[in-house]
Amino acid sequence: MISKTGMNPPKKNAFTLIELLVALVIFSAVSVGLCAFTATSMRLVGRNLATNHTHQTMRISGQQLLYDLHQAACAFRLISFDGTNYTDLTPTATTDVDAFTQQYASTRANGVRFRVQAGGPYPLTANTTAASTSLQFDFGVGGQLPYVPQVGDKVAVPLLSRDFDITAVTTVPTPGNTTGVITISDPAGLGFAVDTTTSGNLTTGYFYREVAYTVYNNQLRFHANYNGLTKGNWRLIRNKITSPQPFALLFPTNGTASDGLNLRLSLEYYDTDYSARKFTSGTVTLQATVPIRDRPPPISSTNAS
Amino acid sequence: MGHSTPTFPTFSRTPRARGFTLVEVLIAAGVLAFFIVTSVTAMAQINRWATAARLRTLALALAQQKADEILSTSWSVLSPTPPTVLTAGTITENNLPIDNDSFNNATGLSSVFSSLDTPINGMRTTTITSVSARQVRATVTVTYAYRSHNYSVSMNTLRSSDDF
Repeated sequence: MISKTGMNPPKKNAFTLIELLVALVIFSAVSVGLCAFTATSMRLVGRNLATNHTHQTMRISGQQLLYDLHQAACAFRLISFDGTNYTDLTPTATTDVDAFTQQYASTRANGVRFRVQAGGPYPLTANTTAASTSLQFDFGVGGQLPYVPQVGDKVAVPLLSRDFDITAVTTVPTPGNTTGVITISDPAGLGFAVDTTTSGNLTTGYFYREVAYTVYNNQLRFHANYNGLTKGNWRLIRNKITSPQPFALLFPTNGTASDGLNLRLSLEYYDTDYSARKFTSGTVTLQATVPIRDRPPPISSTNAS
Repeated sequence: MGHSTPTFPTFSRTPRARGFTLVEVLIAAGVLAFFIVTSVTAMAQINRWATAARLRTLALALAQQKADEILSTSWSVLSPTPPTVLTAGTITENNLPIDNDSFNNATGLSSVFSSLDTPINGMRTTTITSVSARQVRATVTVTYAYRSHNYSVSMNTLRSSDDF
């Protein structure tokens, strides 16, 4: 068609209202879909990360925790840490029955202490009388000195089926001279005359040190030397622990005393970076009943601390 | 000079498409929707796999726990009867919590996250077979169900007496 003026036909310069509305609806639908997709994706990825993080945490820290607990050479003792002081507890039985052992769980605690073998067997290198309270050992192993005794450690002498607290280290072994002399706690002495000079005689001692695990501030802490002034020294095993009191002892029946030889553990992990979202399956609980390793026989007490 | 028909400039270009047609937009939206649904489904499946892996680890911990008990219980062949846990036979324990430990759910002990897990219980079967007077073979199997699928983890160990 030719306009009367001889010019080009009029151009369509804008969208119609219908076109705009249709485009707007489609754009809105796509936008809403993308927003929902993004939100869902974020949540799913976050949940996946939370699940995997806690899973990984449980695997790594659980391995070390269980390994150490299984090295216990004596009964477990529950302790409490309030942020300042470490206190021994006297747990009592509750009505909570452990599903694994059908025994009764004690009142819970945020810490446990026990002894692990720290050194030995080391040979006695000086004769003793029955009244001797001073024992000399050679602490060297292949020219190295992997263990240095300290006050508070225990020495067990399998030949005598006895163990003693170490009350003094009168000669501290060094890499240059690995012979050390310790003083044992029993005032009556060793109770046995040991001849170390006769060929073929070999009397050895095993040395045990107190260690502990505590949970505080969402941290699982390992105390490698839970003794005297050093008991407050710890290193972090894992953070993001969300069970405040994961340790308990097991009682055979509700009311009887526990021998402390079985520790009930229920350690919950949650990646607290995701705490506001509370993802399902984002938590992992390591639950275990841990008996001590009773070979060699458990040493007699844990009361050095 | 005769009358001539006025001429207009001729353009060879074809009419331009000034926008998408509704059909094009709908197809694009369909493709996008397919992508979104597929992605969300895949991520949900990945989450299920992660949860299944986590449950498998926890089930292994249950089996390991029994194996620890078998390996650490005192056993002297001089005693008239072996300890119960080392006696030949099969012991089945039902309804053991794999996750969401009820131990932690008491008032004052539970965290705000303790209830996030759907409780899944498992069955632990321990079979002790006598190999010799001083040795037994132990097989610990933990079975559980997750999303209508049955899963099973198993551990084997040998245990000798303490006498040597």
